[in-house]
Amino acid sequence: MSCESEEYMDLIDKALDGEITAEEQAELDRHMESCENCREHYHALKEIIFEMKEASPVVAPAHFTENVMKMLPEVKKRSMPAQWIRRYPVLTAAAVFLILMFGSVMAGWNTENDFAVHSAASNIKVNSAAHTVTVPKGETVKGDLVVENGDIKVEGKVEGNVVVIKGEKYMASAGQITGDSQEIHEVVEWVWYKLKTFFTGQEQK
Amino acid sequence: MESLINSLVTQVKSGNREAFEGLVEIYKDKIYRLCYRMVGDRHEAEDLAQEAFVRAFVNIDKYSGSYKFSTWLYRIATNLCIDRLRKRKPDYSMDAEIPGTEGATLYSQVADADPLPEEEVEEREKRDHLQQEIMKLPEKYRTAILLKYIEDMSLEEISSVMDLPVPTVKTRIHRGREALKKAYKKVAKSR
Repeated sequence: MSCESEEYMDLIDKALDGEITAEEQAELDRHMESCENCREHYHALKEIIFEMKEASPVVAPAHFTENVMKMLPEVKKRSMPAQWIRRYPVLTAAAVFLILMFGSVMAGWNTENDFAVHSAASNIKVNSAAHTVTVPKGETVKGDLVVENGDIKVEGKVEGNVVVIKGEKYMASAGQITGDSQEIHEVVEWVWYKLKTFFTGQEQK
Repeated sequence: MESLINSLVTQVKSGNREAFEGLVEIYKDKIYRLCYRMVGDRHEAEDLAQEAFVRAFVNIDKYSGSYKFSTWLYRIATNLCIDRLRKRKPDYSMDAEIPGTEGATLYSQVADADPLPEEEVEEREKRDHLQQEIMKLPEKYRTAILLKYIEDMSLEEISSVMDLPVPTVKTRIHRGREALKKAYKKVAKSR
């Protein structure tokens, strides 16, 4: 390609792409009459394109379709859960969340066997060895009282809610609870309690 | 034709396996030819073309219909071929020139089953020569050139198959044919 003019190379490309205008074609023809390089370049490219277009028809081998059909994976009826997941991604996410949540809380029911008391009050008697909490006679406990894995004896007064998890609540005749009192023995109850406190943030430590 | 294809695609999507057979029948020659021109080996081409159809079947739900089904199929096939070419170890090709010989390939070492008439041999040599030159093109030019001149696609179609802007496709076609021309010239001189 020794023709100095890039312009004619562009024109040749345009001509081969079928984008050349009549004017440009005339100009190119005029130029090629005198420029052997461009003429040769143009015809060589044209010949290659012609050869490619005329290239021997290649056809797929015999039994091609048959073989493809044999290779297809078995009836790909997607299972219902998979379809469901694709259709309701938000519900799926919510369900997964609940299952995991439920699972971890359940695990807590089985493993958390430590005696624990959650209360803001200091005037309660805690017996760690016997796993009992006593609200002494005449005393008033302010705020909520939560006992895990232990019993509670209420001889005095509790101004708040009392929750006993895996334990018993004994009320003395003089005992008094102003808020709700709750004993939790069952997993389901406990999970419900945990979820409730998780979402409302009511659990007081 | 387009409506037939769309109807077949819809049927396949709704679980009708047999409808896919129709799609394979319609496109098998085109896809096989493209694969053959891309990799230059008939067995490999068959393998790749089959794989392309199986992939199309498995992923039919991903075909959205925003462009032609053929465009999507061509894209799967070209990507498979390019992957294959990249993985290909620099092994011995039947088309490669045997070192120390003048243009002899491994084909000339293999006895032909049934001899062909003279002019057919000539024709075949010419075509094989074209294939050899195509095989020498870098894969990016090769894909563009094949889609343009063998498959007779528009620049827009090639652009969606290759996922490239039209001007880039154009440049690749230009470069590709320049490269082919140079290769041809060299052969013409050595003859």
